Amino acid sequence: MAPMKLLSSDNVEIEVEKEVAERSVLIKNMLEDVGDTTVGAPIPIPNVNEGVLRKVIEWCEHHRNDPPQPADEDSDSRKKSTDIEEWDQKFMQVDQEMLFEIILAANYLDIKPLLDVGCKTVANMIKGKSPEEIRKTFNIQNDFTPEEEDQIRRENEWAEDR
Amino acid sequence: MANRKRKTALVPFRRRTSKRTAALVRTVHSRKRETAIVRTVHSRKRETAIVPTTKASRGRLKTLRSRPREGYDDFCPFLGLPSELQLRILSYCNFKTLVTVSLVSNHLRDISLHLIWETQPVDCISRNMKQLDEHEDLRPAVRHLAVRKNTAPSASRMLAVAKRLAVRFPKDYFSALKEFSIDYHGGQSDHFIQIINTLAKHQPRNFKTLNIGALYKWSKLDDEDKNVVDKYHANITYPSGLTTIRITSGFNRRTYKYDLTKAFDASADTLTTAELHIGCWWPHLSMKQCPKVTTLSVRQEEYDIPVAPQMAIRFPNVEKLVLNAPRCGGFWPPHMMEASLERYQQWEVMSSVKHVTLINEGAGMDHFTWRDAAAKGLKHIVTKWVTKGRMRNLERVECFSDPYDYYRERREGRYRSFVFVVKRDAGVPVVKCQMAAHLSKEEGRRIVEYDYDTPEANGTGAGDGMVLDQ
Repeated sequence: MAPMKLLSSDNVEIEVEKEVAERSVLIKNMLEDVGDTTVGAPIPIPNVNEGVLRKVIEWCEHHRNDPPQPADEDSDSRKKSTDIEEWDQKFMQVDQEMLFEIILAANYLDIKPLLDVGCKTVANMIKGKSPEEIRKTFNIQNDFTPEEEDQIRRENEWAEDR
Repeated sequence: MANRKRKTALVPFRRRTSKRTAALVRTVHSRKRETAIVRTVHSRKRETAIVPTTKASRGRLKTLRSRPREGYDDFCPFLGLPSELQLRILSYCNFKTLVTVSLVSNHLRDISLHLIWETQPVDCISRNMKQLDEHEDLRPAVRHLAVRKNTAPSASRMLAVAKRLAVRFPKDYFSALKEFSIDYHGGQSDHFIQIINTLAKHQPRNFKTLNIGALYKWSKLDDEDKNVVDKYHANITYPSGLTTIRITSGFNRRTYKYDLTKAFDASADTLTTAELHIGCWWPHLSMKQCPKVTTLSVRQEEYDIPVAPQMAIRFPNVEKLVLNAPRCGGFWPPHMMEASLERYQQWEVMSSVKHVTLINEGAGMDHFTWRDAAAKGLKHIVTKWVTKGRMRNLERVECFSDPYDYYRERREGRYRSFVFVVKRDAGVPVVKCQMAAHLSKEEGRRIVEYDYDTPEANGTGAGDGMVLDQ
């Protein structure tokens, strides 16, 4: 498969096989639209920097032979499972900034399986934690007044005991 | 019971920012002001609570927020994500986690409660209906409405529910409704009719699932008023075009005022999944065929009158039968066992069934010393189904030791107690029993196949069995 070039937001050209790049629906559609008119010219990816783009390409290379996702990607079965393959789990062992950058890049490049893995990773980071731990993990400010918090806690007691 | 009542209390507190949210969503629709909104969203964390309402607005919001974000919040990357991605992440969380998330901050409370409204049945109590009156953006989030016995336990409350729904359904409050559940008590028949008729008259486009729980007090048909059945039937119009209908009643040898199975008739051409838990069959119950039903769930207690012959006529093309048979395969004294098993053998009339799921709450399925006897009892039934009965297409029978295991298995793909596989040797069906067994530390948990025909199968052991490749 012929190689092609992607141009990151910080102007770094990265060579990648076409088959790998086409895991991104955005790039695939772009290539279909422009045809052979721009052979050799790098495709600009203005929203993704070099580090994140290389990480995304690494994922695409590993999953280059994966079967296409079912059309009803919003089905309940997708939402129920938060299982992540072992390789993907290791792949997602990055700092939070990189993790969210990957999610944003996957969303921008329209790579739904990678977006799902990213979202599941964050969901797994949330699961089993108390509100305070979630705030600490994601650096979220508690903007409830103590009275509001007390009231919400009382209202939610039934669910926490389940 | 108390829990359910309190569950609804979760809802009212949520909408402190909702007026502002609704205003923001409305403003987003105006293209001229998009830039201003983006600025507001990025500069004030607490005002990012835009919850997309309709498909159209969701699309617009996606376009709007998928633009490069100059004000990306490095300090808190999660809140820096576009709202649709935050929603996507939280959609992987279960209910309990969503409740915890709702305690983190105002913004997360708005997002998570929207998901809670989407994923949980919304009780038709006045508090919830007032929420819907006040907050238009919540209405499309309602997917499942419920009238429960604990929130409508009396005739007066049922009447109030009927009035609430009669007012709101015509105003298109429940445009995204997919499922409706009602626990029905015999004492409130008029209100039941009113609710069902309202539902049928203003049926939402995506509404496909109806659950009716008729409790033990389902009224009897008095001897002196034999025509009451017809009188009531004439007043009910069930929703049509549904794909799933579940009707559950307690065991009751008395005849019923209503024929709730008429609900199947209204969707006879579209229904694919039917559930009918009923203790016996009465001659006045409808026998209209539902030819597209391929999945049927039924319940038969040991002492129930089998309804299998009627089911075979009413649902002639069932391929997957889920049989809740609480004592089937359990432990009885030998002289009773044969008689009890005979009752379950009557299901052999379901001739098109390929797959049976047998849910058994009885003892013996998992207990090591009883397991063999339970398996032998079950094998006895399955063998009769395929050899002497009409289940010529049966391929597999999966047995679960209790309903919780069954539902857990559906989620996680395990916890099956026994599997009976029907193998055909030159057209002659042979039933083999497979079960998971711990072989050794090295080999771990593997599937072992037993035939339960050998002398060793007697009593406490089934022989070595044959280890299958998984």
